[in-house]
Amino acid sequence: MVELTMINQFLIGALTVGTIYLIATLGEVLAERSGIVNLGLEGLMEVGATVGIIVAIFTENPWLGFLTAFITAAIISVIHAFACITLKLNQFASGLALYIFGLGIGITFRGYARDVMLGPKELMKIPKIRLYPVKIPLLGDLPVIGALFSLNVMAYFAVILSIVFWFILFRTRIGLDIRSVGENPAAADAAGINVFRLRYIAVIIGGGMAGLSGAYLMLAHTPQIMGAPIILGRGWIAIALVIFSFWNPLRALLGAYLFGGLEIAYFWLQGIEIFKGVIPLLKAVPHVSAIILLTIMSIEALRRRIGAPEALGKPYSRE
Amino acid sequence: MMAIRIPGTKYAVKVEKRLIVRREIPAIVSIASAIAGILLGGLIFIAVGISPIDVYSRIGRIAISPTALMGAIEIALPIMFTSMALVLPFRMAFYNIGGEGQFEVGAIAAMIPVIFYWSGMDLPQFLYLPIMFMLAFIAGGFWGLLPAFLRAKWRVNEILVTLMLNTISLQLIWWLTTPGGPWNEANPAFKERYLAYLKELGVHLIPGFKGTPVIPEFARLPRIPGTLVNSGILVAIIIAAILYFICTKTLLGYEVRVVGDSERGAMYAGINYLKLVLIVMFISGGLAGLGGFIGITAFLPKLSPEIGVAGYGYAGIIVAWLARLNPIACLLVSFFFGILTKSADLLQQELKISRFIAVGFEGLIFILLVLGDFFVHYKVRLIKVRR
Repeated sequence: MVELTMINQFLIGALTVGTIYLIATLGEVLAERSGIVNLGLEGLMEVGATVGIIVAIFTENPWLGFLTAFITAAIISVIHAFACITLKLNQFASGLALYIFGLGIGITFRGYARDVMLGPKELMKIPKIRLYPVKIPLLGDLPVIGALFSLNVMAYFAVILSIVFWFILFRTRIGLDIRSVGENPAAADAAGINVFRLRYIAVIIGGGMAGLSGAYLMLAHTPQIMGAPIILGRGWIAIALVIFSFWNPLRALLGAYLFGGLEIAYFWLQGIEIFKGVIPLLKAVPHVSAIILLTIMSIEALRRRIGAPEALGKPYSRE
Repeated sequence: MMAIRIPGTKYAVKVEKRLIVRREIPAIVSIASAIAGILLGGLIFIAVGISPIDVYSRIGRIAISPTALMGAIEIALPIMFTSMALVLPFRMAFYNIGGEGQFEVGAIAAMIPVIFYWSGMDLPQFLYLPIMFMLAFIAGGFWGLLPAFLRAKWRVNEILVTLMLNTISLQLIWWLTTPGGPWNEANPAFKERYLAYLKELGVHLIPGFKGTPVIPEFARLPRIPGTLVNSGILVAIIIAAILYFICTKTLLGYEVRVVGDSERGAMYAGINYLKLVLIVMFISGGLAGLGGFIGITAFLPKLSPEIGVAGYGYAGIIVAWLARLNPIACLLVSFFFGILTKSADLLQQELKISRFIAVGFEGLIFILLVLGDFFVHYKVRLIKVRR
């Protein structure tokens, strides 16, 4: 029985952490389906984490924290959209700039909030506003699969979101339009689809999702306010997961939870005797896995002739 | 070509594609975005309730005080290498974001002879610096080969692979230097020699310290005699000159340019992409690795996870972009970034602002630089319209 609860605990951890990846990956899937890469996720997540926790503390409401994190990251993404879509500039450079900018101001303001804005009284509120796992009666007590019914509310919401994203992208008119804009913008334009507007929408919502993901990390996983990086490369793994998921929101579930599991595995593996001497190296397991998976996926994509949206990374102009 | 009428006036903004981009325009845009970034960054200070004028006057004081300038060079020197490292790969549109990791691996490799020394294995003293130099270059180069190979062979995204490698190399340093790790200064293998050395200096080991033993004096890069500047700057200048020569006067530089213009075109021109990208990334990783060599032999004199905190590799990306991939400009822009970072360090002490504000500024400058590229490609003019 002890082992069963351990498996249960592991699954809850994997799904909780996996949700961080899932939310960010969904946003990037949307943006890339419209043809725009956003390498700024990591920075947007740092900003979202800062805004999310500070707003949640002051309003004593985590949901307002999530909402403002989404909106802030979405607003910052407008810069990226403007650079890539209107000015037709280098998407990689613009994304990297957004990453470094977000990293810098996200951490600066978080450190400033801790040192100046938040007293002990405010910090005491954190346990009250953070999200806890909610066990659904009966189902949550089942061995192993009980973990599926013992998650925090946002984790369920993220699953619903990935179904919604899939439905929109593959079963609705606007989804078809977004995909066609990402595959062949000239043809889409000729068919009367507003390429520029759809790309703006996809990039802005996609960026907002990264902010949401950062706020989720803070409010549901590690609510620590400090003037140091907290996303720690998860944004980049989320971008890798987009490739792993072949730009499909439902497949993103698989990758996100897999990497949630790899990240959580660290806490289990470090207790095992043979890993005693190499504990810091265990932290690199998700990153080594990501390189291996990316390679397998790329070979697979070449072999099966599937892959990124055709116009991904290329600006569209009517000239 | 288009013109947009400004409502209510007799003027319109006319946007025209530049047919010929004059050489000075990218440089002007770079300088303008740096200045605009610093001014716009003042908004960050206003947001946290600090007078930006106060901040700028403090930065002004820093920029002219000799000790701070020294500190600025200290920060700039590693960035010179991590930025020059990106000149060749970025010119061929291979986005090596792994400068940070190649820098760290270079620092690890440069440490190897020192670790042997403290374990009791000697080399002639004059050999240490050259051997450490070579090891750093080779190790950084090899760290750069993997993403190059994966990209050329199976089109694996090089941005993601190089980023993942950055985390892996940092964890490698953590593992080596953590208490109980093989290179930690408290490792019994160093006991005899290192403890005697420390005793001579009158210092004790700090229990639980994360880091290797310090590098002995004879294996540190000295200052240029008669100045306060480290001799690493001479290495940087020589490498900038060599890189400039490679870019402008050699077949390698020519092929890099052709690939940068069009990968497909290069294929038809008979350029072997795999071979070219492997050579370029070996040089690139090697140069970033030399940054690691400089970082530990000129300033830190030891290896610890601290080396990853400064983000030299990431700063190199922005510097290379600002310098328009010109190796000589890289030296100057690195120095500018040194002043920026040094100022942020002092602001952290004086005004209690996180030193990450420097990263925010760098990001802002980078964003403006990217947006400013519009003006490199297009001419924007105000014209008078009839009626």
